[in-house]
Amino acid sequence: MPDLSNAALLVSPLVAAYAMVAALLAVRKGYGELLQSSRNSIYVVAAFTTIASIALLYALIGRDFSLKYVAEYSSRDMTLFYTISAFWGGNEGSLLLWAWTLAILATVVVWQNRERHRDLMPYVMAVMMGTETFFLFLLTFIASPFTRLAVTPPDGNGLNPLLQNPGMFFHPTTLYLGYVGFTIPYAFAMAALITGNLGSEWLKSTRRWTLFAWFFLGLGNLFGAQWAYVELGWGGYWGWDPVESASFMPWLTGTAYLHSVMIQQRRSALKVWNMVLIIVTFALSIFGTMLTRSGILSSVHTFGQSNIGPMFVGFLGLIVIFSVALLVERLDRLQSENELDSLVSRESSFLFNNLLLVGAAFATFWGTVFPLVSEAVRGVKITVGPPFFNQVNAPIFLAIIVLMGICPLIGWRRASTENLIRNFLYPFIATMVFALVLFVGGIRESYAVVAFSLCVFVVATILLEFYRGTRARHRTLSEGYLAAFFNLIWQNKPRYGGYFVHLGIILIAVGVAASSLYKVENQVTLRPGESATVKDYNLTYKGLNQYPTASKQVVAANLEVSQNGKYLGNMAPAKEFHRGHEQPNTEVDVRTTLIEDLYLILTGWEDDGTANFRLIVNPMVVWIWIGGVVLLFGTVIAFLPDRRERVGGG
Amino acid sequence: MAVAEATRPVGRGWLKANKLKLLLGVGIVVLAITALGLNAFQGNMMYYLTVGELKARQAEVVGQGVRLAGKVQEGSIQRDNRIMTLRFLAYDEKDPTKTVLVAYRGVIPDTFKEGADVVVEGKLDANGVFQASQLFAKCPSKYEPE
Repeated sequence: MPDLSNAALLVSPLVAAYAMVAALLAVRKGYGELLQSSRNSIYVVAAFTTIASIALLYALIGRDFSLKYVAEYSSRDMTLFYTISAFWGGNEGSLLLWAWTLAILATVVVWQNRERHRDLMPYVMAVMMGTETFFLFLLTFIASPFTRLAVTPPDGNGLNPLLQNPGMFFHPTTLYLGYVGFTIPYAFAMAALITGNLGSEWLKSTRRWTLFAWFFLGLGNLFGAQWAYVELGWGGYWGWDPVESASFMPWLTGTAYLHSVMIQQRRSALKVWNMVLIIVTFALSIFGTMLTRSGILSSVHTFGQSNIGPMFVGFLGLIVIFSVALLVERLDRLQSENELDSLVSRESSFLFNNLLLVGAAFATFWGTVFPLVSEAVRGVKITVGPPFFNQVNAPIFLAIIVLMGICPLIGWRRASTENLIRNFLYPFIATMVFALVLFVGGIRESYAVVAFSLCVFVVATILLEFYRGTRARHRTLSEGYLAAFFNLIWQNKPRYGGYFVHLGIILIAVGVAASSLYKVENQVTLRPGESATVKDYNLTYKGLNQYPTASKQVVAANLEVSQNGKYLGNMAPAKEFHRGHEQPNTEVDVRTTLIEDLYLILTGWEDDGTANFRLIVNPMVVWIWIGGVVLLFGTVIAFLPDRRERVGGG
Repeated sequence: MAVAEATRPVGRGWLKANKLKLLLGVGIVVLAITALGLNAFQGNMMYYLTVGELKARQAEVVGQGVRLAGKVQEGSIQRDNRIMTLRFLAYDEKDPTKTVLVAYRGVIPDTFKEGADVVVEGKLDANGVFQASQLFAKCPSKYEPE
């Protein structure tokens, strides 16, 4: 089976390359059969990568340790869940996952558009298959998952214990769906540039794909943060590690793109800017994959240095040169039909939102790649730590939140003073009252007061929108309030779905702000029977428990936890020694409430039972994950078919 | 969708004034982000050196923020879990004769042990001891997440 699928994988770059060339030739020479042949080849690539992926899964589940990849990343004692996750535990499998995902998405795109976009599709297919060829080439010649070992070991190395967390299943898969997904709007953008059909057609047909990619990229980041929080045991969820930044940057530019295309659809402006954004987003997606897979920037994610780095750099260079050349070539055709001409209008608020998002992406990029730049220019590596990213991005994100409140309510074209007063008076009052409440309630830190008040401002504007829409339906269509509310959402899903997405982002912002500003921490050494406090929690250390399980030896501390004298239960932060791995793995214990997380880390112990702990109270972290769920909900609504799409127009 | 602009209300001069305001706004935002970035950058930049490079630039970097990469020397680890302090010799991977004494107080990661790759952040003090405030370690054995 692996040999057969290896053969399938070996020929697949040729098939993908053929699909690309055939699509281009078909449109140049006008051969309809050739285009059909290209289409079929894409299906074949999808079939071959599926066969290869199933074979790899089959080998993993069947414990075929004669395959180097299986021996390196799985072992007999692993559960089915983690055995499947081992698929993307290493370089080769991750690249296969990329290629497989792209092949499947490409198939869907080709199928969806078999009757549509006859002019664009050949080029869309060519761009998708060009990208696919690159990844299949890497898989075939540089990092094949089907390399055999000379001697079959009795058992494999197993997956690193840190990776044995549900996050390992969801984080890479969702992130890759995001990275890969941006290939599709990019391919359509390039097709629009090549053909010169630069109207809003290609935007309309890629709206869903962009939303799809953007959503999964965001979800991937959230899963990564959650995983880091529960598994890495340092008390946080985001450390501005190069790999984290790498997946955050395309999300930022993708967010900018999602917004600015609305301006193009509505006012036929910002056409060049949109092209730039989608090119940058796609390039950053490839850059993100490269950082994760090549070890160019060393980070705590620590990858084996591999030789795929130069290949990625070459591919990335090719993408940038090709895209920019094409864009410059078409610059004269991308003239906006309208100009943005007023400072106080919805258009300009979108423009500023874009500037801020791209600014944040650029600052993050600068901080991430600066060590490489300074080494090349000055011969010495200079780096910046997480404080840089926080200091730059926090004010930018606050400004974005302000705009999040303003954008939906401000008038198109040129907002009048009445429009401003009518829409912003109540939210403004709500914000001021809330700020006052915070101040009186003892929250005096300016950053906190500003951040939380701004969040209230946004929520107030969104609620006002829902309220007005509902009331209008209730009055004019005499629907009941509840029916009016649901119909309001149902009749304009992209818009109201978008509001839910905004609410999700606000919840995440609240969680991030609270947990970064009001984290309380205490490092203690306790003998059995001794107590320690952190915030209003009192913890009594009862002693260490040691016990073996099937695959590991566990050392767990037993702590009795009470808050303000009320007994809450026992908690057991631990260290686990996995069989076959020398290093122990810290297992934190977290007690989550809507107000705060009590986060306990066992950092070490002595033979006499004395143990060291880090006790952390992280306020409102759970709202980050709740925000993620709201985000999911909003995206699904925005994704559903909307009547406006059939009628046309905006 | 009809994109033809409605008749413009006032003459060209009025439009230009508005456009100028918009451009001015864009300029201010771009400048503000740049200033923010530069300011944060200057406050947080530090050298990223190997132990060998640190030794070569010793005079220059004393008291400056440095992120230092090296390996943990066998038999050099002295740790006291009770007060969570750690001292060890870090050596240069390419030139093992170059070493520096590192002092650190705080949580020691699971991956920290003899022979491990270690990255510390902190400052070299006047006595030539590297006072670390952050410590990251990675196991020399294979480890490839994601």
